[in-house]
Amino acid sequence: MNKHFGPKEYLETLKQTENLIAVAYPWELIDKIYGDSPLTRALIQSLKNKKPDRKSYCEPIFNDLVSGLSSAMQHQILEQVAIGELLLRDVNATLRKAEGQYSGFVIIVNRGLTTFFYTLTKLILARVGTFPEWERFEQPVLRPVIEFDQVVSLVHQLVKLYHEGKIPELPLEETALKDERLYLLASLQWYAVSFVVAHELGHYLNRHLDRTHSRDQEFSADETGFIVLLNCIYRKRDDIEIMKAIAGVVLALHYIEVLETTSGSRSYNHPPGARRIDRLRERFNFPGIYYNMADSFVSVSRDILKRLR
Amino acid sequence: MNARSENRNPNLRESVMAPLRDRLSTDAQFRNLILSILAAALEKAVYYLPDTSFDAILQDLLPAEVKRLRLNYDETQALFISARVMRVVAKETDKVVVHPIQLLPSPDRYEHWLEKGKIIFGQGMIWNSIRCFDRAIKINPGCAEAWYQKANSLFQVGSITTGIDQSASRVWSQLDFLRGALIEAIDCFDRAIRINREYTEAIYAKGSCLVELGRPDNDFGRVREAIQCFRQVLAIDPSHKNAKLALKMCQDAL
Repeated sequence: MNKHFGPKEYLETLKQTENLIAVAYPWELIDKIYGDSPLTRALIQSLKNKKPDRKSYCEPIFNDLVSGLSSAMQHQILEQVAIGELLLRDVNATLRKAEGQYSGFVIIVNRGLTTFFYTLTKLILARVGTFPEWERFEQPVLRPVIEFDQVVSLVHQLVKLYHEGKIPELPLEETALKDERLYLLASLQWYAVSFVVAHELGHYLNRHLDRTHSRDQEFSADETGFIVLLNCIYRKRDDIEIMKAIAGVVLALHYIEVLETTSGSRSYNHPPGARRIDRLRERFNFPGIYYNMADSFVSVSRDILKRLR
Repeated sequence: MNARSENRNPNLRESVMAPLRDRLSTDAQFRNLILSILAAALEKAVYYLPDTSFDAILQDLLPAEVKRLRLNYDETQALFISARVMRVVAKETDKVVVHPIQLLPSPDRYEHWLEKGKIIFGQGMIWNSIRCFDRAIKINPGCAEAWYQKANSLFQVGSITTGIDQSASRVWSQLDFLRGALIEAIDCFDRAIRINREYTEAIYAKGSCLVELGRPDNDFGRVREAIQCFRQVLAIDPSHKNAKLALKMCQDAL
Protein backbone atom coordinates (compact mmCIF):
# COMPACT_ATOMS: atom_id res chain seq x y z
CA MET A 1 0.00 0.00 0.00
CA ASN A 2 1.34 3.39 -0.94
CA LYS A 3 1.47 5.48 2.22
CA HIS A 4 0.98 8.76 0.44
CA PHE A 5 -2.33 7.66 -1.00
CA GLY A 6 -3.88 6.10 2.06
CA PRO A 7 -7.21 6.86 3.75
CA LYS A 8 -5.87 9.86 5.69
CA GLU A 9 -4.79 11.57 2.52
CA TYR A 10 -8.14 10.81 0.96
CA LEU A 11 -9.87 12.41 3.92
CA GLU A 12 -7.74 15.53 3.52
CA THR A 13 -8.76 15.85 -0.11
CA LEU A 14 -12.40 15.46 0.89
CA LYS A 15 -12.06 18.19 3.46
CA GLN A 16 -10.60 20.50 0.86
CA THR A 17 -13.38 19.93 -1.63
CA GLU A 18 -15.09 23.24 -2.15
CA ASN A 19 -18.70 22.16 -2.31
CA LEU A 20 -18.46 20.58 1.12
CA ILE A 21 -17.38 23.82 2.68
CA ALA A 22 -20.02 25.81 0.84
CA VAL A 23 -22.90 24.26 2.79
CA ALA A 24 -21.04 24.18 6.05
CA TYR A 25 -21.43 26.41 9.06
CA PRO A 26 -18.99 29.20 9.69
CA TRP A 27 -16.53 28.04 12.31
CA GLU A 28 -17.24 30.75 14.85
CA LEU A 29 -20.90 29.85 15.02
CA ILE A 30 -20.14 26.16 15.39
CA ASP A 31 -17.96 26.95 18.33
CA LYS A 32 -20.79 28.89 19.87
CA ILE A 33 -23.22 26.00 19.57
CA TYR A 34 -20.94 23.09 19.98
CA GLY A 35 -18.49 24.05 22.64
CA ASP A 36 -20.48 26.81 24.24
CA SER A 37 -18.37 26.53 27.32
CA PRO A 38 -14.64 25.82 27.46
CA LEU A 39 -15.46 23.62 30.44
CA THR A 40 -17.53 21.27 28.32
CA ARG A 41 -14.67 20.69 26.01
CA ALA A 42 -12.29 20.22 28.89
CA LEU A 43 -14.67 17.73 30.48
CA ILE A 44 -15.09 15.78 27.29
CA GLN A 45 -11.35 15.56 26.98
CA SER A 46 -10.86 14.69 30.61
CA LEU A 47 -13.16 11.70 30.15
CA LYS A 48 -10.40 10.04 28.28
CA ASN A 49 -7.42 12.07 29.48
CA LYS A 50 -6.63 13.03 25.95
CA LYS A 51 -4.94 16.21 24.85
CA PRO A 52 -7.62 18.84 24.12
CA ASP A 53 -8.42 19.00 20.45
CA ARG A 54 -10.16 22.19 19.49
CA LYS A 55 -11.87 21.01 16.40
CA SER A 56 -12.96 17.44 16.80
CA TYR A 57 -13.14 14.61 19.27
CA CYS A 58 -13.89 12.00 16.68
CA GLU A 59 -10.30 10.95 16.49
CA PRO A 60 -9.82 10.30 20.22
CA ILE A 61 -13.12 8.41 20.18
CA PHE A 62 -11.96 6.30 17.26
CA ASN A 63 -8.57 5.58 18.85
CA ASP A 64 -10.29 4.63 22.06
CA LEU A 65 -12.63 2.19 20.33
CA VAL A 66 -9.82 0.61 18.37
CA SER A 67 -7.51 0.29 21.38
CA GLY A 68 -9.72 -2.41 22.87
CA LEU A 69 -9.33 -4.73 19.88
CA SER A 70 -6.73 -7.43 19.43
CA SER A 71 -3.40 -6.01 18.27
CA ALA A 72 -3.56 -7.62 14.81
CA MET A 73 -6.95 -6.09 14.17
CA GLN A 74 -5.86 -2.74 15.59
CA HIS A 75 -2.95 -2.65 13.22
CA GLN A 76 -5.14 -3.47 10.25
CA ILE A 77 -7.74 -0.84 11.10
CA LEU A 78 -5.29 1.96 11.77
CA GLU A 79 -3.67 1.20 8.43
CA GLN A 80 -6.87 1.06 6.41
CA VAL A 81 -9.35 3.38 8.09
CA ALA A 82 -9.20 7.10 8.80
CA ILE A 83 -11.79 9.18 10.60
CA GLY A 84 -12.70 12.83 10.31
CA GLU A 85 -15.47 15.33 10.65
CA LEU A 86 -16.84 17.22 7.69
CA LEU A 87 -18.58 20.55 8.09
CA LEU A 88 -21.83 19.32 6.58
CA ARG A 89 -25.19 19.96 8.17
CA ASP A 90 -26.45 16.40 7.57
CA VAL A 91 -27.31 14.47 10.70
CA ASN A 92 -25.46 11.31 9.75
CA ALA A 93 -22.16 9.51 9.44
CA THR A 94 -20.86 7.25 6.68
CA LEU A 95 -18.22 4.70 5.87
CA ARG A 96 -16.81 5.58 2.47
CA LYS A 97 -14.40 3.66 0.27
CA ALA A 98 -11.52 5.82 -0.97
CA GLU A 99 -11.76 6.63 -4.67
CA GLY A 100 -9.28 7.21 -7.45
CA GLN A 101 -5.64 6.76 -6.58
CA TYR A 102 -6.41 6.47 -2.87
CA SER A 103 -6.84 3.27 -0.91
CA GLY A 104 -8.61 2.35 2.31
CA PHE A 105 -11.78 3.64 3.96
CA VAL A 106 -12.83 6.79 5.75
CA ILE A 107 -15.45 7.20 8.43
CA ILE A 108 -17.04 10.60 8.02
CA VAL A 109 -19.00 12.11 10.87
CA ASN A 110 -20.84 15.22 9.77
CA ARG A 111 -20.80 18.24 12.01
CA GLY A 112 -24.59 18.35 11.74
CA LEU A 113 -24.79 15.09 13.68
CA THR A 114 -22.57 16.17 16.54
CA THR A 115 -24.25 19.56 16.93
CA PHE A 116 -27.73 18.08 16.71
CA PHE A 117 -26.95 15.43 19.32
CA TYR A 118 -25.27 17.93 21.56
CA THR A 119 -28.04 20.50 21.45
CA LEU A 120 -30.86 18.02 21.92
CA THR A 121 -29.12 16.21 24.78
CA LYS A 122 -28.57 19.54 26.41
CA LEU A 123 -32.24 20.46 26.14
CA ILE A 124 -33.33 17.09 27.52
CA LEU A 125 -30.89 17.36 30.41
CA ALA A 126 -32.08 20.87 31.16
CA ARG A 127 -35.54 19.39 31.58
CA VAL A 128 -34.63 16.24 33.49
CA GLY A 129 -35.59 16.32 37.10
CA THR A 130 -34.46 13.77 39.58
CA PHE A 131 -35.03 10.23 38.45
CA PRO A 132 -35.51 7.12 40.57
CA GLU A 133 -32.08 5.56 40.20
CA TRP A 134 -30.18 8.79 40.50
CA GLU A 135 -30.41 9.25 44.25
CA ARG A 136 -29.30 5.72 44.95
CA PHE A 137 -25.88 6.40 43.51
CA GLU A 138 -25.30 9.43 45.71
CA GLN A 139 -25.59 11.69 42.72
CA PRO A 140 -26.82 15.19 43.37
CA VAL A 141 -30.52 15.68 42.86
CA LEU A 142 -31.25 17.45 39.60
CA ARG A 143 -34.04 19.95 39.19
CA PRO A 144 -35.36 21.10 35.83
CA VAL A 145 -33.55 24.22 34.67
CA ILE A 146 -36.30 25.42 32.37
CA GLU A 147 -40.04 25.11 31.99
CA PHE A 148 -41.55 22.35 29.89
CA ASP A 149 -43.21 24.75 27.44
CA GLN A 150 -39.95 26.51 26.88
CA VAL A 151 -38.14 23.26 26.12
CA VAL A 152 -40.88 22.25 23.71
CA SER A 153 -40.57 25.51 21.80
CA LEU A 154 -36.76 25.30 21.74
CA VAL A 155 -36.82 21.73 20.44
CA HIS A 156 -39.43 22.76 17.91
CA GLN A 157 -37.17 25.57 16.66
CA LEU A 158 -34.15 23.30 16.56
CA VAL A 159 -35.84 20.53 14.62
CA LYS A 160 -37.50 22.96 12.23
CA LEU A 161 -34.22 24.67 11.45
CA TYR A 162 -32.54 21.34 10.82
CA HIS A 163 -35.22 20.23 8.42
CA GLU A 164 -35.03 23.54 6.58
CA GLY A 165 -31.29 23.17 6.30
CA LYS A 166 -30.62 26.32 8.27
CA ILE A 167 -28.24 27.05 11.07
CA PRO A 168 -29.84 26.65 14.49
CA GLU A 169 -29.43 29.66 16.72
CA LEU A 170 -30.68 28.88 20.16
CA PRO A 171 -30.63 31.13 23.18
CA LEU A 172 -28.08 28.97 24.91
CA GLU A 173 -27.66 31.17 27.95
CA GLU A 174 -31.13 30.17 29.08
CA THR A 175 -30.22 26.53 29.06
CA ALA A 176 -26.77 26.88 30.58
CA LEU A 177 -25.96 23.73 32.49
CA LYS A 178 -23.72 23.50 35.50
CA ASP A 179 -21.57 20.98 37.35
CA GLU A 180 -22.97 17.46 37.42
CA ARG A 181 -25.37 17.99 34.60
CA LEU A 182 -22.66 19.39 32.38
CA TYR A 183 -20.46 16.43 33.13
CA LEU A 184 -23.33 14.11 32.33
CA LEU A 185 -23.85 16.00 29.07
CA ALA A 186 -20.21 15.51 28.16
CA SER A 187 -20.42 11.77 28.93
CA LEU A 188 -23.64 11.25 27.02
CA GLN A 189 -22.33 13.15 24.02
CA TRP A 190 -19.11 11.14 24.13
CA TYR A 191 -20.93 7.82 24.17
CA ALA A 192 -23.57 8.83 21.63
CA VAL A 193 -20.92 9.86 19.10
CA SER A 194 -18.86 6.79 20.09
CA PHE A 195 -21.78 4.60 19.13
CA VAL A 196 -22.16 6.31 15.76
CA VAL A 197 -18.45 5.83 15.07
CA ALA A 198 -18.61 2.25 16.35
CA HIS A 199 -21.59 1.56 14.07
CA GLU A 200 -19.57 2.68 11.04
CA LEU A 201 -16.62 0.68 12.29
CA GLY A 202 -19.06 -2.24 12.54
CA HIS A 203 -19.81 -1.90 8.83
CA TYR A 204 -16.08 -2.07 8.15
CA LEU A 205 -15.50 -5.04 10.47
CA ASN A 206 -18.46 -6.91 8.98
CA ARG A 207 -17.15 -6.10 5.51
CA HIS A 208 -20.27 -4.26 4.37
CA LEU A 209 -18.35 -2.37 1.79
CA ASP A 210 -21.08 -1.26 -0.61
CA ARG A 211 -22.29 2.31 -0.65
CA THR A 212 -25.78 1.43 0.57
CA HIS A 213 -26.55 -1.15 3.21
CA SER A 214 -29.47 -3.48 3.67
CA ARG A 215 -31.58 -3.42 6.80
CA ASP A 216 -29.96 -6.60 8.11
CA GLN A 217 -26.55 -5.09 7.58
CA GLU A 218 -27.57 -2.04 9.60
CA PHE A 219 -28.79 -4.20 12.48
CA SER A 220 -25.63 -6.23 12.32
CA ALA A 221 -23.46 -3.09 12.35
CA ASP A 222 -25.40 -1.89 15.39
CA GLU A 223 -24.61 -5.09 17.24
CA THR A 224 -20.98 -5.17 16.24
CA GLY A 225 -20.56 -1.48 17.04
CA PHE A 226 -22.23 -1.94 20.39
CA ILE A 227 -19.95 -4.77 21.49
CA VAL A 228 -16.89 -2.79 20.38
CA LEU A 229 -18.11 0.12 22.49
CA LEU A 230 -18.96 -2.12 25.44
CA ASN A 231 -15.53 -3.66 25.29
CA CYS A 232 -14.11 -0.18 25.65
CA ILE A 233 -16.30 0.69 28.64
CA TYR A 234 -15.76 -2.58 30.45
CA ARG A 235 -12.15 -1.59 30.85
CA LYS A 236 -13.37 0.88 33.48
CA ARG A 237 -15.14 -1.82 35.51
CA ASP A 238 -17.84 0.58 36.63
CA ASP A 239 -21.62 0.10 36.57
CA ILE A 240 -22.45 3.80 36.39
CA GLU A 241 -20.21 4.23 33.37
CA ILE A 242 -22.04 1.37 31.62
CA MET A 243 -25.37 3.03 32.39
CA LYS A 244 -24.15 6.31 30.95
CA ALA A 245 -22.91 4.54 27.85
CA ILE A 246 -26.19 2.70 27.34
CA ALA A 247 -28.01 6.00 27.82
CA GLY A 248 -25.75 7.56 25.17
CA VAL A 249 -26.39 4.72 22.73
CA VAL A 250 -30.14 4.74 23.28
CA LEU A 251 -30.25 8.52 22.90
CA ALA A 252 -28.26 8.38 19.66
CA LEU A 253 -30.82 5.96 18.22
CA HIS A 254 -33.67 7.92 19.71
CA TYR A 255 -32.53 11.11 17.93
CA ILE A 256 -32.94 9.31 14.64
CA GLU A 257 -36.49 8.62 15.77
CA VAL A 258 -36.89 12.34 16.57
CA LEU A 259 -35.80 13.31 13.07
CA GLU A 260 -38.09 10.68 11.53
CA THR A 261 -41.18 11.66 13.46
CA THR A 262 -40.72 15.39 12.94
CA SER A 263 -39.95 15.24 9.24
CA GLY A 264 -42.83 12.87 8.51
CA SER A 265 -40.83 10.90 5.99
CA ARG A 266 -37.77 8.77 6.38
CA SER A 267 -34.91 9.89 4.20
CA TYR A 268 -32.47 7.32 5.58
CA ASN A 269 -31.53 3.84 4.55
CA HIS A 270 -31.48 2.90 8.21
CA PRO A 271 -34.25 0.99 9.95
CA PRO A 272 -36.45 3.10 12.24
CA GLY A 273 -34.67 4.34 15.36
CA ALA A 274 -37.18 2.86 17.81
CA ARG A 275 -36.88 -0.55 16.16
CA ARG A 276 -33.10 -0.42 16.49
CA ILE A 277 -33.34 0.32 20.21
CA ASP A 278 -35.69 -2.64 20.70
CA ARG A 279 -33.41 -4.88 18.73
CA LEU A 280 -30.37 -4.06 20.88
CA ARG A 281 -32.45 -4.70 23.99
CA GLU A 282 -33.52 -8.08 22.68
CA ARG A 283 -30.02 -9.14 21.80
CA PHE A 284 -28.09 -8.00 24.89
CA ASN A 285 -29.28 -9.50 28.13
CA PHE A 286 -28.24 -6.77 30.54
CA PRO A 287 -29.69 -6.44 34.01
CA GLY A 288 -32.73 -4.16 33.74
CA ILE A 289 -31.16 -1.57 36.01
CA TYR A 290 -28.66 -0.67 33.30
CA TYR A 291 -31.44 0.74 31.15
CA ASN A 292 -33.03 2.93 33.80
CA MET A 293 -31.01 6.04 33.07
CA ALA A 294 -31.61 5.74 29.34
CA ASP A 295 -35.33 5.23 29.92
CA SER A 296 -35.58 8.37 32.02
CA PHE A 297 -34.04 10.52 29.30
CA VAL A 298 -36.01 8.98 26.48
CA SER A 299 -39.29 9.39 28.35
CA VAL A 300 -38.57 13.12 28.80
CA SER A 301 -37.81 13.38 25.11
CA ARG A 302 -40.95 11.45 24.13
CA ASP A 303 -43.05 13.85 26.23
CA ILE A 304 -41.57 16.73 24.28
CA LEU A 305 -42.18 14.92 20.98
CA LYS A 306 -45.84 14.33 21.82
CA ARG A 307 -46.31 18.07 22.18
CA LEU A 308 -44.57 18.77 18.89
CA ARG A 309 -47.03 16.71 16.87
CA MET B 1 -24.11 9.96 66.59
CA ASN B 2 -20.35 9.64 66.97
CA ALA B 3 -20.41 10.36 70.69
CA ARG B 4 -23.14 7.79 71.13
CA SER B 5 -21.44 5.11 69.16
CA GLU B 6 -18.24 5.55 71.19
CA ASN B 7 -20.10 5.12 74.44
CA ARG B 8 -22.38 2.31 73.43
CA ASN B 9 -22.45 -0.80 75.47
CA PRO B 10 -21.36 -3.86 73.51
CA ASN B 11 -23.83 -6.06 75.39
CA LEU B 12 -26.71 -3.78 74.66
CA ARG B 13 -27.22 -5.15 71.18
CA GLU B 14 -27.73 -8.65 72.51
CA SER B 15 -29.97 -7.43 75.34
CA VAL B 16 -32.12 -5.64 72.79
CA MET B 17 -32.22 -8.48 70.36
CA ALA B 18 -33.17 -11.21 72.84
CA PRO B 19 -36.71 -10.01 73.65
CA LEU B 20 -37.10 -8.76 70.10
CA ARG B 21 -36.30 -12.18 68.77
CA ASP B 22 -38.92 -13.72 71.03
CA ARG B 23 -41.52 -11.32 69.82
CA LEU B 24 -40.47 -11.82 66.22
CA SER B 25 -40.90 -15.55 66.49
CA THR B 26 -44.29 -15.41 68.22
CA ASP B 27 -46.03 -12.29 66.92
CA ALA B 28 -46.54 -12.75 63.18
CA GLN B 29 -48.04 -9.30 62.65
CA PHE B 30 -45.11 -7.59 64.34
CA ARG B 31 -42.70 -9.69 62.36
CA ASN B 32 -44.28 -8.79 59.05
CA LEU B 33 -44.25 -5.12 59.90
CA ILE B 34 -40.59 -5.13 60.86
CA LEU B 35 -39.67 -7.27 57.87
CA SER B 36 -41.32 -4.98 55.37
CA ILE B 37 -39.85 -1.86 56.91
CA LEU B 38 -36.38 -3.28 57.00
CA ALA B 39 -36.57 -4.78 53.55
CA ALA B 40 -37.31 -1.29 52.26
CA ALA B 41 -34.36 0.17 54.15
CA LEU B 42 -32.11 -2.60 52.92
CA GLU B 43 -33.25 -2.15 49.36
CA LYS B 44 -32.01 1.41 49.44
CA ALA B 45 -28.86 0.68 51.35
CA VAL B 46 -27.43 -1.90 49.00
CA TYR B 47 -27.39 0.53 46.12
CA TYR B 48 -24.74 2.54 47.81
CA LEU B 49 -21.17 1.95 46.84
CA PRO B 50 -19.63 -1.03 48.53
CA ASP B 51 -17.09 1.14 50.29
CA THR B 52 -19.76 2.90 52.33
CA SER B 53 -20.31 1.21 55.64
CA PHE B 54 -23.80 0.33 56.85
CA ASP B 55 -23.22 2.51 59.91
CA ALA B 56 -22.65 5.63 57.85
CA ILE B 57 -25.83 5.31 55.84
CA LEU B 58 -28.02 4.00 58.62
CA GLN B 59 -29.15 7.38 59.93
CA ASP B 60 -29.96 8.76 56.52
CA LEU B 61 -31.87 5.83 55.20
CA LEU B 62 -33.87 4.79 58.18
CA PRO B 63 -37.51 4.96 57.14
CA ALA B 64 -39.93 7.14 59.05
CA GLU B 65 -41.74 4.07 60.37
CA VAL B 66 -38.68 2.93 62.27
CA LYS B 67 -38.11 6.42 63.59
CA ARG B 68 -41.65 6.41 64.91
CA LEU B 69 -40.86 3.27 66.94
CA ARG B 70 -38.39 5.47 68.83
CA LEU B 71 -35.65 2.91 68.95
CA ASN B 72 -32.22 4.06 69.98
CA TYR B 73 -29.11 3.78 67.88
CA ASP B 74 -28.11 0.29 68.99
CA GLU B 75 -31.59 -1.05 68.68
CA THR B 76 -32.02 0.27 65.17
CA GLN B 77 -28.63 -0.95 64.16
CA ALA B 78 -29.34 -4.42 65.49
CA LEU B 79 -32.67 -4.44 63.72
CA PHE B 80 -31.22 -3.18 60.52
CA ILE B 81 -28.54 -5.81 60.41
CA SER B 82 -30.79 -8.65 61.36
CA ALA B 83 -32.99 -7.65 58.44
CA ARG B 84 -30.39 -8.95 56.05
CA VAL B 85 -30.67 -12.39 57.51
CA MET B 86 -34.37 -12.26 58.04
CA ARG B 87 -34.97 -11.33 54.45
CA VAL B 88 -32.95 -14.22 53.15
CA VAL B 89 -34.41 -16.68 55.61
CA ALA B 90 -37.97 -15.41 55.21
CA LYS B 91 -37.76 -16.30 51.54
CA GLU B 92 -36.92 -19.91 52.32
CA THR B 93 -38.99 -20.68 55.37
CA ASP B 94 -41.71 -19.23 57.52
CA LYS B 95 -39.46 -19.00 60.51
CA VAL B 96 -37.32 -16.02 61.38
CA VAL B 97 -33.85 -17.05 62.41
CA VAL B 98 -31.15 -14.64 63.43
CA HIS B 99 -27.67 -16.03 63.14
CA PRO B 100 -25.26 -14.52 65.68
CA ILE B 101 -22.61 -13.86 63.01
CA GLN B 102 -25.00 -11.68 61.09
CA LEU B 103 -25.49 -9.48 64.13
CA LEU B 104 -21.86 -8.41 63.81
CA PRO B 105 -21.76 -6.52 60.55
CA SER B 106 -18.17 -5.56 60.98
CA PRO B 107 -16.55 -4.66 57.66
CA ASP B 108 -13.50 -6.62 58.87
CA ARG B 109 -15.39 -9.85 58.34
CA TYR B 110 -15.44 -11.41 54.92
CA GLU B 111 -19.05 -12.58 55.45
CA HIS B 112 -20.10 -8.95 55.46
CA TRP B 113 -18.70 -8.37 51.96
CA LEU B 114 -19.84 -11.72 50.63
CA GLU B 115 -23.39 -11.06 51.77
CA LYS B 116 -23.39 -7.50 50.45
CA GLY B 117 -21.91 -8.58 47.13
CA LYS B 118 -24.58 -11.19 46.64
CA ILE B 119 -27.35 -8.69 47.31
CA ILE B 120 -25.83 -6.14 44.94
CA PHE B 121 -25.39 -8.81 42.27
CA GLY B 122 -29.07 -9.64 42.67
CA GLN B 123 -29.89 -6.01 41.90
CA GLY B 124 -27.89 -6.14 38.68
CA MET B 125 -24.92 -3.99 39.72
CA ILE B 126 -22.33 -6.45 38.49
CA TRP B 127 -19.09 -4.49 38.78
CA ASN B 128 -19.97 -3.19 42.24
CA SER B 129 -20.64 -6.76 43.37
CA ILE B 130 -17.23 -7.78 42.05
CA ARG B 131 -15.68 -5.06 44.20
CA CYS B 132 -17.42 -6.55 47.25
CA PHE B 133 -16.21 -10.07 46.47
CA ASP B 134 -12.71 -8.69 46.02
CA ARG B 135 -12.88 -7.26 49.53
CA ALA B 136 -14.08 -10.61 50.87
CA ILE B 137 -11.25 -12.41 49.08
CA LYS B 138 -8.71 -9.92 50.40
CA ILE B 139 -9.81 -10.66 53.97
CA ASN B 140 -10.11 -14.40 53.48
CA PRO B 141 -8.43 -15.74 50.34
CA GLY B 142 -9.39 -19.27 51.40
CA CYS B 143 -13.11 -18.67 51.00
CA ALA B 144 -14.17 -20.79 48.05
CA GLU B 145 -17.60 -19.16 47.88
CA ALA B 146 -16.14 -15.67 47.45
CA TRP B 147 -14.07 -16.87 44.49
CA TYR B 148 -17.08 -18.65 43.06
CA GLN B 149 -19.29 -15.57 43.39
CA LYS B 150 -16.68 -13.32 41.82
CA ALA B 151 -16.30 -15.74 38.95
CA ASN B 152 -20.05 -15.86 38.51
CA SER B 153 -20.22 -12.06 38.25
CA LEU B 154 -17.43 -12.04 35.67
CA PHE B 155 -19.20 -14.82 33.78
CA GLN B 156 -22.29 -12.63 33.67
CA VAL B 157 -20.21 -9.73 32.30
CA GLY B 158 -18.69 -11.88 29.58
CA SER B 159 -21.83 -13.70 28.53
CA ILE B 160 -24.04 -10.74 27.64
CA THR B 161 -23.44 -11.52 24.00
CA THR B 162 -25.23 -14.88 23.90
CA GLY B 163 -27.89 -13.51 21.55
CA ILE B 164 -25.76 -11.63 19.03
CA ASP B 165 -25.54 -12.57 15.38
CA GLN B 166 -22.82 -14.40 13.48
CA SER B 167 -20.75 -11.48 12.21
CA ALA B 168 -20.87 -9.71 15.57
CA SER B 169 -19.67 -12.96 17.19
CA ARG B 170 -16.71 -13.06 14.87
CA VAL B 171 -15.68 -9.59 16.03
CA TRP B 172 -16.38 -10.53 19.65
CA SER B 173 -13.51 -12.97 19.65
CA GLN B 174 -11.19 -10.03 18.93
CA LEU B 175 -12.33 -8.00 21.93
CA ASP B 176 -9.83 -8.12 24.75
CA PHE B 177 -11.99 -6.94 27.63
CA LEU B 178 -15.18 -8.87 26.98
CA ARG B 179 -13.22 -12.05 26.33
CA GLY B 180 -10.87 -11.20 29.19
CA ALA B 181 -13.80 -11.23 31.62
CA LEU B 182 -14.54 -14.87 30.75
CA ILE B 183 -10.88 -15.85 30.99
CA GLU B 184 -10.67 -14.14 34.39
CA ALA B 185 -13.87 -15.93 35.42
CA ILE B 186 -12.37 -19.32 34.56
CA ASP B 187 -9.32 -18.42 36.61
CA CYS B 188 -11.53 -17.56 39.60
CA PHE B 189 -13.58 -20.77 39.22
CA ASP B 190 -10.26 -22.64 39.30
CA ARG B 191 -9.31 -20.91 42.54
CA ALA B 192 -12.64 -21.91 44.09
CA ILE B 193 -12.26 -25.51 42.89
CA ARG B 194 -8.69 -25.68 44.19
CA ILE B 195 -9.97 -24.79 47.67
CA ASN B 196 -12.95 -27.12 47.51
CA ARG B 197 -12.42 -30.01 45.10
CA GLU B 198 -16.03 -31.14 45.34
CA TYR B 199 -17.55 -27.74 44.60
CA THR B 200 -19.93 -28.99 41.91
CA GLU B 201 -21.56 -25.60 41.23
CA ALA B 202 -18.16 -24.08 40.51
CA ILE B 203 -17.05 -26.96 38.28
CA TYR B 204 -20.33 -26.91 36.37
CA ALA B 205 -20.18 -23.12 35.95
CA LYS B 206 -16.57 -23.36 34.75
CA GLY B 207 -17.71 -25.79 32.07
CA SER B 208 -20.49 -23.43 30.96
CA CYS B 209 -18.00 -20.59 30.89
CA LEU B 210 -15.66 -22.60 28.64
CA VAL B 211 -18.51 -23.36 26.27
CA GLU B 212 -19.35 -19.64 26.10
CA LEU B 213 -15.72 -18.78 25.47
CA GLY B 214 -15.36 -21.30 22.67
CA ARG B 215 -18.72 -20.67 21.03
CA PRO B 216 -18.11 -17.55 18.89
CA ASP B 217 -15.10 -18.90 17.01
CA ASN B 218 -15.97 -22.64 17.21
CA ASP B 219 -13.04 -23.41 19.47
CA PHE B 220 -13.48 -27.16 20.03
CA GLY B 221 -10.53 -27.28 22.41
CA ARG B 222 -12.59 -25.28 24.88
CA VAL B 223 -15.58 -27.56 24.37
CA ARG B 224 -13.43 -30.61 25.15
CA GLU B 225 -12.24 -28.93 28.34
CA ALA B 226 -15.87 -28.20 29.19
CA ILE B 227 -16.77 -31.87 28.67
CA GLN B 228 -14.13 -32.81 31.22
CA CYS B 229 -15.69 -30.39 33.70
CA PHE B 230 -19.19 -31.81 33.23
CA ARG B 231 -17.87 -35.37 33.63
CA GLN B 232 -16.11 -34.30 36.81
CA VAL B 233 -19.39 -32.92 38.16
CA LEU B 234 -21.19 -36.17 37.33
CA ALA B 235 -18.47 -38.20 39.02
CA ILE B 236 -19.12 -36.31 42.26
CA ASP B 237 -22.89 -35.98 41.87
CA PRO B 238 -24.34 -38.47 39.33
CA SER B 239 -27.81 -36.90 39.67
CA HIS B 240 -26.73 -33.43 38.46
CA LYS B 241 -29.33 -32.83 35.74
CA ASN B 242 -27.82 -29.68 34.22
CA ALA B 243 -24.41 -31.30 33.89
CA LYS B 244 -25.98 -34.28 32.09
CA LEU B 245 -27.77 -31.97 29.67
CA ALA B 246 -24.72 -29.80 29.05
CA LEU B 247 -22.53 -32.85 28.51
CA LYS B 248 -24.93 -34.20 25.92
CA MET B 249 -25.09 -30.86 24.12
CA CYS B 250 -21.29 -30.59 24.01
CA GLN B 251 -20.89 -34.12 22.70
CA ASP B 252 -23.48 -33.43 20.01
CA ALA B 253 -21.62 -30.26 19.01
CA LEU B 254 -18.41 -32.22 18.55
